[in-house]
Amino acid sequence: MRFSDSMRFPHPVLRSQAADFQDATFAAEFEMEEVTNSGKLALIYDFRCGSPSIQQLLNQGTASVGVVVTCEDTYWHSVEEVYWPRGRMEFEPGSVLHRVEVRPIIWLCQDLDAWPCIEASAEFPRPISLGKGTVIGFGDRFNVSVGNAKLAAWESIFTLRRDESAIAGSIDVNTDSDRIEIRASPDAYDAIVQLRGQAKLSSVTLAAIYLPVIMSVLEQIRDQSELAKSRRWFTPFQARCDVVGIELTSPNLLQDAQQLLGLPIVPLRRFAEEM
Amino acid sequence: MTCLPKLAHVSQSVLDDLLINVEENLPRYRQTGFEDLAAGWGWNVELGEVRVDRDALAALDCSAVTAEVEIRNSLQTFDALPGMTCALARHEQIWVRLTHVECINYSRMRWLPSHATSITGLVMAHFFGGGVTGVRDDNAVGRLWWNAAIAKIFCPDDVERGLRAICGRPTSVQIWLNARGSQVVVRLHKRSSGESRPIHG
Repeated sequence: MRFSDSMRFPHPVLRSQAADFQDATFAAEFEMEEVTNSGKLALIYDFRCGSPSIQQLLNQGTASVGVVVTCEDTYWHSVEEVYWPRGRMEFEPGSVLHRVEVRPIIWLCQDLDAWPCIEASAEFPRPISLGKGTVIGFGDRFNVSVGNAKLAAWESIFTLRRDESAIAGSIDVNTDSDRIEIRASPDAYDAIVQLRGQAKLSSVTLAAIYLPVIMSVLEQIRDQSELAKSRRWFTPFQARCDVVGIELTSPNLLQDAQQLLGLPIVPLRRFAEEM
Repeated sequence: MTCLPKLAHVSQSVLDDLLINVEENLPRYRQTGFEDLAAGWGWNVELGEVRVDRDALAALDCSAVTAEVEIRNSLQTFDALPGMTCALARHEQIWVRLTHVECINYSRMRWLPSHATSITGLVMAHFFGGGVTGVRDDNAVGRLWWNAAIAKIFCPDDVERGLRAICGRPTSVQIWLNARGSQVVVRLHKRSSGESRPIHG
């Protein structure tokens, strides 16, 4: 079964995208343990259920909790039943790589007749009777990045190119290449090379050059995702985005670019103090 | 059965050099190959967990472009790489080594027509595997392994039957070529076999 945030159900389902349950959500925290050389992967999870009625079902074993795991890179798609409310799940080495989507889910493991679920919206007719296997809650999608792609240096993703045809003093970004090209007019190129050559000016380079460039890249991915996916820089770039929780389909350009660069503004203060 | 050698892949720097020098290397892609370079540094990075049956790969059939040949080659490639996983098979360096060394004859015969005046684009597509889908859809050897790997996902007890569902029917092939997301695999499965089996058991 595939979930989308816009799915509709004829019965109350605990989730953040709908108000089926008043003031209650189902949330999960995931932490990843990875041995990149062997491909071993474990997810440590901690679920929080805001509905006392569903929590009771989970505690008494009437409902089960699990995780829907999807990896489009390796075609992995499974629903893993896990322990409530916290625990650890392990994956076979080699089963997933790069972006792995995980989504917590709660379903009934036996029939439920006349469920007195007082938190459910009054819009749902009573009594609520549901069959075994019915989904009664799911959490938000969470992406983890598996493998070495997230460790790729920015230098391996970007390349600086001198562009004689560029407007004097300006830079532009070309993503239709295997590395993201920062195309700079000759004078801008010389200035950037000079900046990059001095380690103590790295904070200036990040804030003045890479910050607007990454904003432009995020914008281009949003607008032309298929083109971006055909390029070699995309996988490591996406992996870095997954690590800091950036959603490439709807990025907040300025905020997300700052997150990707590890908040490059504050280090500028040290540079200003040294001047 | 004799112990198979470990599978090797090229290093990132060798991959970068090959990408930069495609034009210069066109005679190698056409005729002379890369055997002399392959003895050098960065061409033999061994993968401990995967073995390679070089004889089986050398015997890939490039005599015709038919579904039957594609199915046979896919099974042969899948069986020739014991220990390969879907995660490892995402790595471009593995397939670049195979298309440039062990399987260069097959890759050349299958994807570089002798009458073509310009082969640079064909080399980039079928001897490398850039982007999210390059190794699965375009690399000459990678696509064969992935054919069988995907067939095994939805037909785990009979990979050949799964391959026939993918390669043997024009409608299926069309869908296959357009998009290889996991949803598409399920749809293919339902169309071709009429059974309902989970993607992963």
